[in-house]
Amino acid sequence: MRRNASIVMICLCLAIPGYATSVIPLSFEQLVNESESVVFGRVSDVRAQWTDDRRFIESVVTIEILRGMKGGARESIAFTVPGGQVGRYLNVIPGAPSFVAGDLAVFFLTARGARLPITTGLTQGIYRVRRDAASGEMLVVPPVAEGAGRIVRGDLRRKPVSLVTFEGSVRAALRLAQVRPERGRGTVAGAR
Amino acid sequence: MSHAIQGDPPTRLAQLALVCNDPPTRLTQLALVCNDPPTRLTQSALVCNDPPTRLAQLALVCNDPPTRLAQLALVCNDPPTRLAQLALMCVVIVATSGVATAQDAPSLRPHRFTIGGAIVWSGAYDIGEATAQLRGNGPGASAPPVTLFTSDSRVTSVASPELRIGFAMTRHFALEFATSVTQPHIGVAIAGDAEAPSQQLPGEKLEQYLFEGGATWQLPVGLGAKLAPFIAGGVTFLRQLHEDRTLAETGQIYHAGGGARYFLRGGQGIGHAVGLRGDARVNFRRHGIDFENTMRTYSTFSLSLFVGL
Amino acid sequence: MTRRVALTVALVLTLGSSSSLAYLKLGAILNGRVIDATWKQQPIGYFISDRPGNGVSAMDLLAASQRATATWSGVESATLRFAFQGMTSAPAEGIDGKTTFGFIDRPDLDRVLAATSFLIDTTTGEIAEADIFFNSKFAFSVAPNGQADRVDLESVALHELGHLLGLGHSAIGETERSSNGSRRVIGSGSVMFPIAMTAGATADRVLQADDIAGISDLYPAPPTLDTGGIVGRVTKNGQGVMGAHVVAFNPETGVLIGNFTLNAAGDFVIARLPPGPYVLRVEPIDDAEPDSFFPSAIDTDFRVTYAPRMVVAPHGGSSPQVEIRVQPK
Repeated sequence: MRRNASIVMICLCLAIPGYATSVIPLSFEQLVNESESVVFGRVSDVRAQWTDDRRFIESVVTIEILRGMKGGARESIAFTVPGGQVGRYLNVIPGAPSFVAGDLAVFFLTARGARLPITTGLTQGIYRVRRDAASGEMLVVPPVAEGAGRIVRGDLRRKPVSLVTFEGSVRAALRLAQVRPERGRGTVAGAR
Repeated sequence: MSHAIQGDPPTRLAQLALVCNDPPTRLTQLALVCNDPPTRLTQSALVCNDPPTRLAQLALVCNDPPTRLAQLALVCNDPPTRLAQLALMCVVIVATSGVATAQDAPSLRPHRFTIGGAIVWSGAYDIGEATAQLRGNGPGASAPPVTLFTSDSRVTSVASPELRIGFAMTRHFALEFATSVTQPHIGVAIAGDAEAPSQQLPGEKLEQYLFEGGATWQLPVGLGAKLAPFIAGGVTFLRQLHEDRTLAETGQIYHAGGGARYFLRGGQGIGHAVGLRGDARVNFRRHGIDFENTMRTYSTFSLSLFVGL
Repeated sequence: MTRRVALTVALVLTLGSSSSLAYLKLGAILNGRVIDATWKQQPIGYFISDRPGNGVSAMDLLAASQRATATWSGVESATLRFAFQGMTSAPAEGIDGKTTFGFIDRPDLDRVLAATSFLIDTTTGEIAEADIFFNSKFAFSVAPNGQADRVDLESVALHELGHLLGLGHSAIGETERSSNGSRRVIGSGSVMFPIAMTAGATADRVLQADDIAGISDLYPAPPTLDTGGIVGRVTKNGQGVMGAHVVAFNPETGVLIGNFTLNAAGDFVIARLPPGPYVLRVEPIDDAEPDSFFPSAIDTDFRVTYAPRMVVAPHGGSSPQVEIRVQPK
């Protein structure tokens, strides 16, 4: 059922690709600094469950940590994403993150106290990793470069980068935050 | 008043006298000498001079027989009143009256068909500019739009074969029907894209079917024994098929122009004529594939071989 | 627009396409059954939660919702009806058997303006309920001409209602970075673009061609033969590209309608196009989080590319397949 629910989620997400939420965009620096953990990992398990108040369905995603970039050293970590199927009911938030076992990504996670963390900014906190067919290298879409101005799609300078390079971007953002600790979270009334 | 004297074979004379009486002005005179084979046309000019009023001029060309009438209109200017002025070139009265041409100018056999095949070169023309725009972001309801890119589309020039059938109503006036199939491209020029360089897209290939009806009128101008210039006009039904033949659009083309026939054989009104013909036209295309729904103008040139039946 | 695309792809693929292509149906297959994620019954009834928002009342939300539902219902090429069923004290979230729109204070979701969720009964395939919550952490506005520093409630409601009806996000739009690193819309080609206009903007109270094409595909009003589709494939070095964004532009009408390549072969379908020739433009979604469109890794390593020729959407059918070859960056 879990696997089927995941298939449903994927199929539905393929059918409704995008998130049915209105989200305010984060800069990469904000994403790094507002996240408690930044890890590269592989999804090992996805399990749907009712929330404590039994008003919502959420899925607990467990990842095997392959490389930690921020946060304490661990072998695995679990976080939740909204939606999933329990029993006869399938709760879908179209465009919310969804995973199946085996997915590879860099995860940016936000703590919620005693509750399991969530991905920062929903889908903003997920950088999928894919293996390049030609070279076999693990590649990540790089974050959009800092600097004001139009973000150009297809920018030749913004090619997929290796995990090592991506981790360098994360560490650079962390260093920048240490230099400018007063920088706020941004107030863009952006997404939806 | 005007007087015309019909020609007198073998010589043909036409005389025209016009008296312009405009008190207190004086008379002026007009003399016209018409064409008299084997001599050529002559022309006369009428000038009405009535100081201090202005001049009026008239040109008259007489047509040679079977002798036709020449028409003349003259209005003098007569202070303080002014008169309407009109000059009519009688060469235009062609439907039933001919125009006196040189006796040795070639022409078609009346009431006979001609058939011809041509290569037609059609010029390129624009079919519209368009801007892909995004809704701008700003306070209120109408922030200025943002350009994603612009496209400028153009039907390319193309050469194509044409079949033409004509029927000579008279030696100088013919009705014609022609058909051709052409395959131009719609080229698209992309510009203004911040994420891609300006570029020219080769475009899709069109299939165009043209069905034309028109007329030619041979000018009464002697250019030798073999060359006969003409003017032409007509209208064409246009059917355009997009590549893959998934969509068709229709339109009309109006044309005006002229050309010349060069008679390799015949042309004296007897026997079968064979010759070459060159045409030049200005075309005015309405409807068909167009992104701005505007009348488009382009030129065509053709060279054909014709045979009189 | 992938939702709409999936439907069209299904229609296209069942009309005799290659057997090697997967058969995509609108919705999902669960235990051998197809679950459809559109509303089967109309009118679509909804409640308004009586909780106030930040600067707006529940009645303001009702009025904005009624205007937004009327906007969707007013699409002539779609069949849609809504029915307001009353105010409720229930929150606009959770499983309670009601479709509810309302304000909820969610400071933990401090980046989320609003969200839509569905509950589907997998035993019947019906949408049991759907909720839209507007985060009252943010200040909304219902002023007729917008209000500076406040997000237009009707615009957000129109967008979220599009999700409630089954539409996904559209990627037709361009953004820029501010000096503080935040991201802002420069222009958008769809109300369903994932990033909202700035505070004070009200233009997104009006649907665009891409929105209309999408909703017409999900809830078509007969006749359906006035529009056509463009079918094609995006390839790079001979291999299909998944996740490429393809936009069709009609030079005569100016409409922009887009979709994605949905499989590893790089296949795409853009449906509900007014007949005529279109310029096709392919671009990578490398300016945003691709996960907002695709739940898997996609290829963004290619340049913006135009199809070499205009492609014609016919009356009531689809174009022959067109291949667009993109180059790596």
